[in-house]
Amino acid sequence: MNTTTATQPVLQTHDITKSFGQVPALRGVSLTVGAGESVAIMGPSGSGKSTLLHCLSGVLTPEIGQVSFCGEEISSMSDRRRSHLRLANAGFVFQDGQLIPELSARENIALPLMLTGTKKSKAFAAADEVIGRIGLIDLRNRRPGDMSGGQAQRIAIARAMVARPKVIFADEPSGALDQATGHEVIQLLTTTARMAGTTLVMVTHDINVARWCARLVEIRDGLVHSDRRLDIESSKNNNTPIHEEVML
Amino acid sequence: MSTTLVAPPRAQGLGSLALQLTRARFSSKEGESLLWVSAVGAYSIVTATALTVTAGTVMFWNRWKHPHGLIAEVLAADSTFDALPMFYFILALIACALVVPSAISLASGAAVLGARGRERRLATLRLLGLSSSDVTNMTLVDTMIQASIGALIGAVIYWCTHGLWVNLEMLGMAITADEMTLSWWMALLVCAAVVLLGLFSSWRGLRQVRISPLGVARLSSRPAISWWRMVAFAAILVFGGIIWSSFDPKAGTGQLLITIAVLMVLVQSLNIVGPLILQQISKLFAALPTPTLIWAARRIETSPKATWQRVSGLSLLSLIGGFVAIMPIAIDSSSATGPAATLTEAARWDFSKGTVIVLAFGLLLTAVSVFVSQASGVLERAEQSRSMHKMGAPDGFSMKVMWVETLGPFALAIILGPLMGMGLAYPMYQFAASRGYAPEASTGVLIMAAVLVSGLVLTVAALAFCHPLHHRILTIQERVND
Repeated sequence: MNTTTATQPVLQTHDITKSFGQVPALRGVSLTVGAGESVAIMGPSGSGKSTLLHCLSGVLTPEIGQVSFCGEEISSMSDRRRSHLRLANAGFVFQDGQLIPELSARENIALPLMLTGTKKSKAFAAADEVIGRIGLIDLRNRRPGDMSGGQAQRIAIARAMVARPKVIFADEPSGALDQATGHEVIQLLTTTARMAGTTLVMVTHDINVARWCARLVEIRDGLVHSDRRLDIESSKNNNTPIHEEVML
Repeated sequence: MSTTLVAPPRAQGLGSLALQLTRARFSSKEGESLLWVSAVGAYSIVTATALTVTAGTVMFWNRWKHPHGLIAEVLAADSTFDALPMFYFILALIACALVVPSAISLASGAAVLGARGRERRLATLRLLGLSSSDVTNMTLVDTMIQASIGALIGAVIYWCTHGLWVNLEMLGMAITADEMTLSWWMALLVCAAVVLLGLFSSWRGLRQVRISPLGVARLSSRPAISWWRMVAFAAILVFGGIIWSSFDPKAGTGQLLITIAVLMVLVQSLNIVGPLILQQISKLFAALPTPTLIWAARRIETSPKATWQRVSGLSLLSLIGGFVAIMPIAIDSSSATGPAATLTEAARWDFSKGTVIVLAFGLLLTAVSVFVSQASGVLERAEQSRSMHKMGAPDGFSMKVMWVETLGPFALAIILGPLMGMGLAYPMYQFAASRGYAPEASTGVLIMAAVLVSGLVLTVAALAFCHPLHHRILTIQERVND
């Protein structure tokens, strides 16, 4: 079932199991994600896709099995070390942006760099560069409260990209947006990641969103149900579902 | 075929639904039960303080209007001493006025704290068909439950502690437990006032949010603070200063009352200018290179009034500290003879004692208020903290921001307060010095130092109590409703 990766693996899980109390969320998942790959994780509600994303990123640790992040085994690492690893190597895009409301767009984008000890001037310069690349330079001094949902999500993508991470984890990045805006946001996320050679792991409900990725992993009942490559260009222009059973 | 619209019935059973939701909060994993208990605890402290301060004020009223013991003896010998118990009563009223803002701030904080978490549920109920007024009523029922339980516990605390005052002497006589016992109707009145204060604060808090079927939106006020505050502050300082500097302790009662009123306005003027200074300083700090400082400064910059409100009680207390540091008030017993000499000698340090008591109550209220507001903030920002944690932000980054956000304004309050207090005491100092009386400032300086240290210790303790709640929120493995 596991699709082999041609490139060096960035993320790897081996037979991981995770439960919440008595409820099993993952029941022996093995997955390998290569450098620069874009992977969509889909599945029905409660299938364990968000748990898998959290285990891959080291937010959660599995009870059984191993997780390797950028070559480092993280399932037995302390929370502090895992946090540091994420800060240095990963970017996150959440469903509702989760920007800090009191900070301007520029400050929000620069924050991950400043947290790793980058000088403020350099962090701001990097933030300006990213925000310029996504065409929102006019928004840099605005606060999230003064932005539309789509603009805020673009700023969140810029924040995830600013530290040039090896991996971007996105949890329903277009879930809170209308279809047209969501489409634009996903396009920005996937193309930016591809151009930077950054690995993208994205949890989504929407097959049209998943089509922007090169690979689709379907999770059901805590297990990998299917794992296959997608032809990005053809699937983006194809309106018919890849598999009816994936549609929710 | 015609279709008739049936008029919707009024929602029924809102009271029992509010009770049911209150019970449900206790099974929540988000620490809401802790907040509910904290809100009740805050109301208890406000009630116990209000009852004790009222009892003390009534005691001075009775000693003035129905003199007995040593006071009666002194008055029988020299009726001009009638002004002394009256002065004590006025000072007790001032003490009440100084404690009231801290109490209101805490009650408001408790109301907001109690409201956190239930807003989303109320939005769901709006979606199910409850009207805006139904939702308001349910919130008020919930607040009334919290405030009533808090008032009851506060009354019990007051009842258990009122006997502790018997070791203290005021006006040359030991305080008796009877004197500190409020009549039942007066106690009921104070408790009712606390509950009403909670209800009003809750109602006012609801006006800051719009609970629609689509969710909860906070109505943000314009964060920019107008410069008219500085102009108003300067005007009060100039005109109030002129009246205050012409203070004559030997003037008639009317003029004395006017001077005291002016003094109160001068004291409160700090609250006019405080938010503006806070916002301007926070803008400067936002330019610093540390992310912790930038975030904390931006938080203050966007809500300077709320931030100042948290430390306004402390600024008031440190103002008193600054005042007594320059001008410790003591009764001069050198010219008195007979029972009057006994009374003035015994009452010599009454004002210092009274100041310490007021400061102790004020500090307690302020510390609880800091805890209440920060605990509420921790819960409100739970999702944001989780996101920061997921992004890999260092452990305690969010908490460091909270510390800076609290201790920064704290530092401003304990600088501005004593400065203002010393400024206000200066005319009195000059008056005393011109008559050849140079007050010993050592006790006053000790009191001020004690206020600052106690304020710092209590605030640090209040913030430290928020850490377990923050850790609990980060470690919750909440299932996402995907």
